[in-house]
This record gives sequence, C-alpha cells and structure tokens, in this order.
Amino acid sequence: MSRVSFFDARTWHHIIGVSSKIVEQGVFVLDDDGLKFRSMDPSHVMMIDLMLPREAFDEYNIDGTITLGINLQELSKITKRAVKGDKLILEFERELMKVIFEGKSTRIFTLPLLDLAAERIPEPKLKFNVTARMLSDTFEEIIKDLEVIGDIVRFEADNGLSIKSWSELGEGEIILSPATGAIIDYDVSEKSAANYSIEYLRQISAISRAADVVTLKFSTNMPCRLDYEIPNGGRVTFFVAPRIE
Amino acid sequence: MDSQVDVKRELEKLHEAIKNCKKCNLYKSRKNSVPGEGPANAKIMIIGEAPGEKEDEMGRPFVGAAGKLLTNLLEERGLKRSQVFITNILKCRPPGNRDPAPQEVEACKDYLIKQIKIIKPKIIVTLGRHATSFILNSIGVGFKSMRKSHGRIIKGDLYGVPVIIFVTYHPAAALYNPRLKKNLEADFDILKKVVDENIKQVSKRRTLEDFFYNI
Repeated sequence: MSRVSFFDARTWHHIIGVSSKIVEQGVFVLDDDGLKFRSMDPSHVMMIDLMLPREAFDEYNIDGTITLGINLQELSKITKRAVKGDKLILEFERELMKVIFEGKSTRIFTLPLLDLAAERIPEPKLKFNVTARMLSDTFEEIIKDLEVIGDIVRFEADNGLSIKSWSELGEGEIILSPATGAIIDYDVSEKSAANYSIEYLRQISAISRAADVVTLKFSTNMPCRLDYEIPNGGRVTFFVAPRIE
Repeated sequence: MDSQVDVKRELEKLHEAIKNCKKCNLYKSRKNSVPGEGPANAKIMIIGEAPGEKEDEMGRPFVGAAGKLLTNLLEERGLKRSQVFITNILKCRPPGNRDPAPQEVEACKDYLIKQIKIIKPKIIVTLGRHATSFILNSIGVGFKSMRKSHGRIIKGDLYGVPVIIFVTYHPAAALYNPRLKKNLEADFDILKKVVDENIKQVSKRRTLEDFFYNI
C-alpha cells in the first residue's frame, strides 16, 4: 500500500482549496522525487504547477511512479475539515484513496480515485525581466485592495513596482519598493508592464495561508509567474496569461 | 493609459449641460432632456432619432416599447445593453413625437458630436433615417433611403474618430410593420458578426499556449 504523511493538514487544505478552484479534476503523480501536479484551467489562461519533494513529507512510502486521478472539488471538501494540529495521511490502494486526519482523534475519509490520463504539459520556457519577492500576505492584500476598483491589474516595474487597477469607479495604485521593506528582493533587467485579470490573481493569492513568501515574475505583455514557497520544502507555481487589449 | 475617470467626468459634464440646454424651443415642452446612457468607454454607440413620451418622462433613452425591442435584439445576440452607449440625435422630445425639425438638429448636433469624441466608439449603429442621414452626411456619404441603406457597413472618420457605421431601421418602425421587424432582426445578425470581428478580438484574452513553447 502506498502511503504518505504530511505534518500540517491545513497546508493541504489551502493548496487543494485553491487548486480545486482552478481545475475540477486532476492527476497527481508521485514518484521518487515527490508529488507533482501540473494542470491548466479550462480556459488555458492559468496554470498550476505543484511540487512537494519527498523531503517535505514525514513519511513517503511510494514504490516507482503512481498516478492518482483526483476530483479536487470533492477532496477540497474533505481537506477543509482539517484543524490545527492535524497531521494528514494519504493512503492509496487500487481505486481508493484514504484521507486520514491524525489529531485529537483519527478521522478517516475514503474517496474513489478517477480513471484520468495525466496531462502532458512540458515545463514552460519563459524569460522574465522582473522578479519581485514579497510576503504572500502583502500580495494578497494588494489584490484585495485592487479588486474593489477593477477587473484588470497592471504591473509596472522600473525603479519601484507599481500595481494598479482602474475602472469607471476610479483608480487604485500600490507602489512597492525594497526601500520601504515591502519587497524582499527586487530585480529589473528591463522596464516592463503587463495586464492580468484580477479574478485569476485573486484565486491564486488565497494560497498565502499555506506559504509565507511569493516571488512574482513578469515581462511586458507576457505571462506572469508566481512561486509560492511552502514551509518544509515544496512550491506551488502559477502562470497567468496576460491581457493584451 | 487614458484615464477612464477623466473620460467619465467629461461625459457627465456634457450631460449636465444637456439637461440645462435651451438652445431650441424643445426645452419649453420637455419634462426631461435625455442625454443618453451607457459606459463612457463603450465600444458600441447606438443613435436613434429623439426621445418619445416615456423617455421624456424618465430622462432615459429607449425605455418604451421600441426600447424593449432594441434591448431584446441586442441581448438575444449576446450583446449586453449595459455595455452599449445609447443616445439620440435630439436630446429632447419633439411634441407629439413629430419628426425633428432641421433647426432642432442643427442646435442639438454639437452634443452628439461631443459624445462621439469623448466616448470614441468603434462601432456606431444608426437607427432610422434621421440618425442615418445625419451620420452618413457627416462622413460625406450620401443617404437615399433606409430600404437601400439598411444592413450596410461603412467605415469612416467621424469627427476624428475612426468608426464602423452600421445602418438599420428604427425599432419603433418595426413595431408596426412585421416585415421590417424581420429585416431588423437580420440586420442585427449582421451587427453581431461585425461586433465579433471588430471588438471581441481586440480584447481577446490570450491563453498560455500563445506564449509557452514558442520562445
């Protein structure tokens, strides 16, 4: 029987919660390296790329490579039940997956696995001219602020990073710079600007509860990349296609 | 980036002026002037003839039976009325819904021209002969009759704004003539194609495949 355990079930709740809003179903691949999940949303505007190395798990008992077809929306309903102090154990046998919360009590949920073929999405080849590393909370708050204003968010990078939105209601702009401490690392090889749908960034930024730090990368009129670092190792990466009017 | 706030403010200022306008005698009989409504950044502008009784009462364009037909014609084709700017050649109701008098059009035309310059629509839909003859004459294209002109697509420079003009009947005419209603529906089918070809692709949301693996 294949079995993995993860020290904080709530981290999974946040990762699966965000993933399930992007794709309804997906295929997790577990091999010697760890757990991988890469999928695009149905409109192919956003991509999620999850990598949890085997070192991120307390226990990682996987022989060879296994693929798990998972209904993320159903799994999300279960992982949502995780409470503080719960450890998460996943067991896979034949067409079933057991989701076990080990805390004050042991709660066992059993879900059917789906017969899905893994999407073969190669590693995207993109070059980015801007890299800004900041606290994931900071980024989430910015997106929440601008969501009040408009549907599109614009990143503009020069000496500082400007993140803005506009609509008939008005305009909103947040300016970040390493000098104010709002950005941890900042590198601009070429002045850049690009627009993205705020709706997608809002969905993504909710993952801040599972990751303390995010690295935003973008170039003019190119997709942006957001890397969330998971404590204990691992990352969740998102790509969002730009809006070019 | 053009400030949408400034554009909206400019349009509101213009509409305030229209509400207080006394350039012709129509202000004496009106209950409300009807500047028009819709987003200041609308890509489509629809121009009718003049407000009717219901519009005069409410101060809003196309809210009577013809307005309902217009809304249906748009929405049945996936075009939201709320995304279109709707106005008229005349901003006040001529008594008894008579035809606009030439001096009234002359007095009122600057308001429409300013609306076009502020909103900068990509597509202008003219409803009926008064709107059509005014707009076509403005770009130097002759107008003979609605029968000959309806369904036509004319590209031109309208007061410095590059536009696609689409000509069709006034919905009010179609209310009383079922044959015209069929023509009007067929015209709106063409309009839908014009919108799809000229507007939706402009704001097309790119997919990741447009960028991945091609670098």
